[in-house]
Amino acid sequence: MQTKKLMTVTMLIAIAILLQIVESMFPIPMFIPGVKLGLANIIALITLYLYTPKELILVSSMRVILVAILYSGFGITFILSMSGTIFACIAMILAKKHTKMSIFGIGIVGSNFHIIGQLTAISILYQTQAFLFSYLPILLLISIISGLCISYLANQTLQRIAFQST
Amino acid sequence: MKLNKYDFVYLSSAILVSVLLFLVGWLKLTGTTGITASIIYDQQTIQVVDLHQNQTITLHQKDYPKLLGDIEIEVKDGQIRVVEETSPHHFCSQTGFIQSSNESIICLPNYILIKIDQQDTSDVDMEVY
Repeated sequence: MQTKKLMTVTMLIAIAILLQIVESMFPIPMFIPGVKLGLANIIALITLYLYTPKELILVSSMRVILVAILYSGFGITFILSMSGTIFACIAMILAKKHTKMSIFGIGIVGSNFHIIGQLTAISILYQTQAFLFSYLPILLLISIISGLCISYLANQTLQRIAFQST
Repeated sequence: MKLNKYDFVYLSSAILVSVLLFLVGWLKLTGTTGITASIIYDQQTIQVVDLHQNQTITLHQKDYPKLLGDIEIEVKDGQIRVVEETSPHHFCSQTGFIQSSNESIICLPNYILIKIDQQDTSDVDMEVY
């Protein structure tokens, strides 16, 4: 059982790395730079629902560090990715533990707090509060939509995994 | 699985928060109309223009080597715009007229930035929200 869990977690990390790298190759043409779906969050949600918060932190942090080593380097991208992931993980774990939200709610919480974490990091790095009113509201609204898509996909995947493993 | 009522509570509060933030930002960031505009080339102010004097300014490529082509700037009735420029996407001429201190015309390929100067009415150096 322990080995199976180890294998699954490793697989999940691999898929998450792949999703993040592939996604960064296809930027969404929008009027706001830096908007993306956050496909790697599907894996985070699946991990949270398959296992415990401990595995979620493991998968997410390993994903961020390995993507930095393999692809994007330890620059500003890494700092933004890491801060967003930390915020999102903590928010999702707390939301799952203390509220009765379904997977859709948890997904939206995750993508919202990912944005909040990234903008917090930017605000600290560049010593500015300008993003708080100009950028955050519109990004929050977009992240609600992307969170819904993400959690729908994660929900579909989880149903199929449950069907397979019985 | 479907969205339950807790999801909707969170969703509506998130939307409410972002709308509120947007409104606050909109109220705070509305600028004042200016009297002068600065034309900044490669981080140096090269010209300060009086906005109430209708004129056309042309920046030539031979004077400013980083330009991709000559730039024509029009000042009319307290407003300023870029009429003609050379750039891949023509963002700065599409911006059109600007007149308020929270607007600016930015043309990165040409290293050009045009901003309306804020008129200082108080002793406060800078306001940080």
